[in-house]
Amino acid sequence: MNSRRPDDAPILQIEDLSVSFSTATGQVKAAENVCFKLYKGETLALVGETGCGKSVVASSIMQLLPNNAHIQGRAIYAGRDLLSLSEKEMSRIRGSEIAIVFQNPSLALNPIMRVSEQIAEMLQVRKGYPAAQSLELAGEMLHRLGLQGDDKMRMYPFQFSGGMNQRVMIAASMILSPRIIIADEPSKGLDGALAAEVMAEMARIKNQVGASLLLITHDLNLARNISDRMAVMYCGEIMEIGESEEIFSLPRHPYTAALLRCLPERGFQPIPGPSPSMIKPPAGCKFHPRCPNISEVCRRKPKMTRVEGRGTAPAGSESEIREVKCWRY
Amino acid sequence: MSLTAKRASRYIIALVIIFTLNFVIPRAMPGDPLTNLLGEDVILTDSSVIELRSEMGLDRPLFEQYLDYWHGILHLDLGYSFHRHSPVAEIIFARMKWTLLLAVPSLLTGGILGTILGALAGWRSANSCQKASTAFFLAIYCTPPYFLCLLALYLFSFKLDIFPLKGFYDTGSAADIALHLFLPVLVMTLFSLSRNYMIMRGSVLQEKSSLYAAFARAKGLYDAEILFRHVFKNALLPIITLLAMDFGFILSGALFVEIVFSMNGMGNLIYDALLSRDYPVLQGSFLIITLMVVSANLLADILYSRLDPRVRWH
Repeated sequence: MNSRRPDDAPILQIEDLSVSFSTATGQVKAAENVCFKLYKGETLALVGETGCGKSVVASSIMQLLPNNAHIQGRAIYAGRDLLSLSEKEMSRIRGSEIAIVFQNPSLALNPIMRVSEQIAEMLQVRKGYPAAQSLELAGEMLHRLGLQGDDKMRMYPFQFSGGMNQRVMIAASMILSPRIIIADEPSKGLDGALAAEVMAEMARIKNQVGASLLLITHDLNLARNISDRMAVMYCGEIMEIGESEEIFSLPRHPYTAALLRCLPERGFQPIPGPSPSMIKPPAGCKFHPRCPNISEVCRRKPKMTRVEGRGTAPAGSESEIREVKCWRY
Repeated sequence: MSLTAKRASRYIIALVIIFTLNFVIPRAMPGDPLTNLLGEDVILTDSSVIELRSEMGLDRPLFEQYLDYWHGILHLDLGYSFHRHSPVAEIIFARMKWTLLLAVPSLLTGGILGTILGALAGWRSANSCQKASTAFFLAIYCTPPYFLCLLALYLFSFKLDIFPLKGFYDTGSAADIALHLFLPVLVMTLFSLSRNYMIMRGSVLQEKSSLYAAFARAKGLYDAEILFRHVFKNALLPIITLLAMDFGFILSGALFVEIVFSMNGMGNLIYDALLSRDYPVLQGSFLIITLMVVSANLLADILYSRLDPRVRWH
């Protein structure tokens, strides 16, 4: 899975990304000082509970957040900060360089346009292909994702199931051969077997075109199955980042450990205490009110700290690095 | 295609009911049905009353009269106006072409410009230029069309003397008719434009926050591409329904415009018929207008299913 060489520079570098929303009840801090790197060809999973800010990170990279969002930090792609690009410049990046697959595929497709045309239009608008040629290419892409036949080409989203619409969205995200694909909860609304099948197809095509995948999900097992590395988010902050297998076998952050214990096969234990407010998050380490290993120092903000990996990755490669935001390290 | 037939049959049933009511009302109204059918101000001698009664079949059984009534309608016979001394159908068709000459260009330009300008206003709702245009069209929207007519007449015809004060034509040449029609068509266009503008603006405002518009943006479409490739068609759907329901209202607006500009179209025909209680002309006019409103609804229905595949399939 991991085709990355140690000297590869990251294709996308998120630096100190903070996002807050002005609402009637106050400033909602949806993401705080998020840092991570995405390498060529790899799959990085951003996991965490619903409402921890994962999707906000994805949308802010694409500049798709609503107007009441305040974004700070940088998202470096091909030497440019995506967050400072104009809407016009961004439209050349979206779909062509970085594509996103939304959750809720049946609502994200235009209800009164044929699915094939919704894919083909990207080729027409961004590459200037004629209608017939772009429809043919769209048909080929749908075929690769298991939607064969002329009748499928002529269908509308309401005639498709959620899983089929998800495939249409994936086809649309891949048609321009982008270098990065962001999948925002792609398994939401699909049953387990179907989600696994769709994701397997997505991973296969992603590897064929050599793109990187940023997978946003709350499904830990899905993340483990298809990602190389994993970043665990809690209350808008990344708590731990490292190789997926390592994080599963040896969680370092108390939150990661608590999250893994929630899995049915690992005891089905809920995390004690309520989820923190995103408007007034706890001071210091945001997890400290619910943490079993709390000490006095946790009331101050911990820094991201490198810890020893077990070294399943090639020596010297970035993925060897395991980082944890906890005072115990 | 069978779906279209199914829809059409629904409208035909509606028409049959309306036409039947038109038959029943003058006969069920208090007083002599002859007076109700001829109009109140027609003065008749006793002998001509008896003669007319048998000529119009009022002495025959109701069912026979009803069949006769339909026979007449299918042969475009809408009765005879004793006020104007000519068949009602002839009078109406002579007047209707002038009203259509006023209403059709206004409805078309108002429809096309209203939806496009309204869509842009909804899409760029934060833009101060669009805010100003919204305020302008809101003011027009709130002003009754006959008042706009009076304003236009006062300013352009009376004060500035650019356009003629009244009528459809003086000499009858195309340029002359166009000059006469300019102000009324302008007012009618503004009237229908402002209605479409407000509805389309609201519709686009609602549609632009939908997920499919966000996905279109995520696919790399830029600004107006999203509006015209995705949002516009979806936002148009409620407009089509409203346009059909509005058709009668806009037509009545045209009648008022005609009266203010003293144009001899349907508006003045109905107005005069009302004042002189010329019931045959009134009934004939209402039937024709009903027919037009129902056809507009049928057209909207067909158009809607052309645009929205969900209606076609369910």
